[in-house]
Amino acid sequence: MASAGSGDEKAAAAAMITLISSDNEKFEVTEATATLSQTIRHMIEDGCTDGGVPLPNVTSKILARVIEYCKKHATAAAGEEGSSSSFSDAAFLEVDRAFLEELEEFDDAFLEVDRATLFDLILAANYLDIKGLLNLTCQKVADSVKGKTPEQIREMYNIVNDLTPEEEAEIRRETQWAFE
Amino acid sequence: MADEEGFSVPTDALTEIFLRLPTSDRRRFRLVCKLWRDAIDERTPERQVQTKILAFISHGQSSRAIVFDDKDGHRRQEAYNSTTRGVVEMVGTCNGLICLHDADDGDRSVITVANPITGEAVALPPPPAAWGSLRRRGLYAFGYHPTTGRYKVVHVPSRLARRQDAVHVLTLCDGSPAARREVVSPALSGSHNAFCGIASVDGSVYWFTSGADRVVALDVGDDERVTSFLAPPGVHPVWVLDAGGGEAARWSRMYCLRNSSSRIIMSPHLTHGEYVLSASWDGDRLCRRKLCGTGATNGDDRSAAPLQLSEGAEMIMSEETEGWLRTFAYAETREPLPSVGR
Repeated sequence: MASAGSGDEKAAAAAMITLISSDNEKFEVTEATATLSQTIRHMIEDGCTDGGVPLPNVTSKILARVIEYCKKHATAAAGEEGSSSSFSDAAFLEVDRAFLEELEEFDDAFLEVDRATLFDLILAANYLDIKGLLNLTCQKVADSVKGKTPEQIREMYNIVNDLTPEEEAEIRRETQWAFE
Repeated sequence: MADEEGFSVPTDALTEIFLRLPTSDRRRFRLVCKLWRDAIDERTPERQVQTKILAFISHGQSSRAIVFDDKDGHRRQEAYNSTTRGVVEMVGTCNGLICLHDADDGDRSVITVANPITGEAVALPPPPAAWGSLRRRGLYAFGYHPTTGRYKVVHVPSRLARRQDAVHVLTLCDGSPAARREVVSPALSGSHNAFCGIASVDGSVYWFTSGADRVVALDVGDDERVTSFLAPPGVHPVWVLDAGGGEAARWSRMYCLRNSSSRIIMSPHLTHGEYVLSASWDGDRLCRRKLCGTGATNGDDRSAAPLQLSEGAEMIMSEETEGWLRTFAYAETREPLPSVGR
């Protein structure tokens, strides 16, 4: 559908891409939104997005959330480019700050999901190579384990300790402070 | 059911999560399970990037930090200029962050925490006047508490301080200015032994009492608990304290250092990997000597086979330092500063 090869910038900005989830739901997004994903950006560059982009690893539920994120952040990216030319304009900087705060609030609200969804978002961000989303979601998980003991983490995430006593002893020895 | 089972992310994403943790967390998380251990060992810089030797030379109004790269012999130098017209000294390093103290002989004193890799630096607000001036006297330590994730700067005041049963604690908090607290405890009375120095390890700060017969421990967790226990007998062997939560402190003899008169063993971090660092008396030459013997490799009985130092010394630095040379074990990190990042 997308008329690739058009030199007109306006036409390129308005170009639409169709993303297809694992459960066969179709999502129409602008190219600016879709190219937050490096994976899709490369596909567009290679000209293989005609007829839609199948994403067999991403369910419609997760894809909808990912698109929500990309739409918001694509606007942010466009705003940044626009404001750099009028850097001296105080009013513009004020608008920027308000927008950044809004973006931060959006990110915080975006992360209010259950653990399974959070992990699915990480998987999708990893597969689609969306740097900002991967950063956001991984940081959330990192914050949840930060400062915890290994026992607390195993309990939190139902992880079975499959290390042998010998392996455990070896790890403990290696972390001895005197040999840091 | 399956979605709540375990930590169901591919190794790539797991690695991304680990890279956002302080190095002390990563080190500890190798104990969670095989998958985590292997991911941390193979995919994060935890094992590859061993701590490097950081030599800090305090001199006049411009101090220097020199970081030695083991692999290619390359070294990187960073200058720290005094803003108080005094001297910049290094308090310590935790998780790749370094803490500096810039003070003159009078009242001016600035404590800064910096990450030399990212170039971030944050100056702590000055302490309340009621503490008396912190200044250069007394002992300073930079500690990190693994379960609260907070960094603290501890100041043990000198003998001349207003009260002898108190220490000062500055806490670096996320997003808020450093909290300041005076910790008072009878266990603190009796001042400190400046010659023995101060050590910050695994969530506690330790120093010797003035008679060097006891060691005082300050837990840098939220409640800032103070305990004290007997110091080890003898001076020459290196004793390693197995704190185990502070209640059941136990000393074991790790290795024996036979010191020759021509060099001084470095402080505060004397070991680096399998080496022990020493310097010539004028501080112009820094050497490392390998530890040999099996030492503390099996079980609890560390006294069975103490490590010895090899004869041959390897020179790693030779230049006129003209200052006070100290060595630290430093791990490079991109972890954001506590009060800057999230």
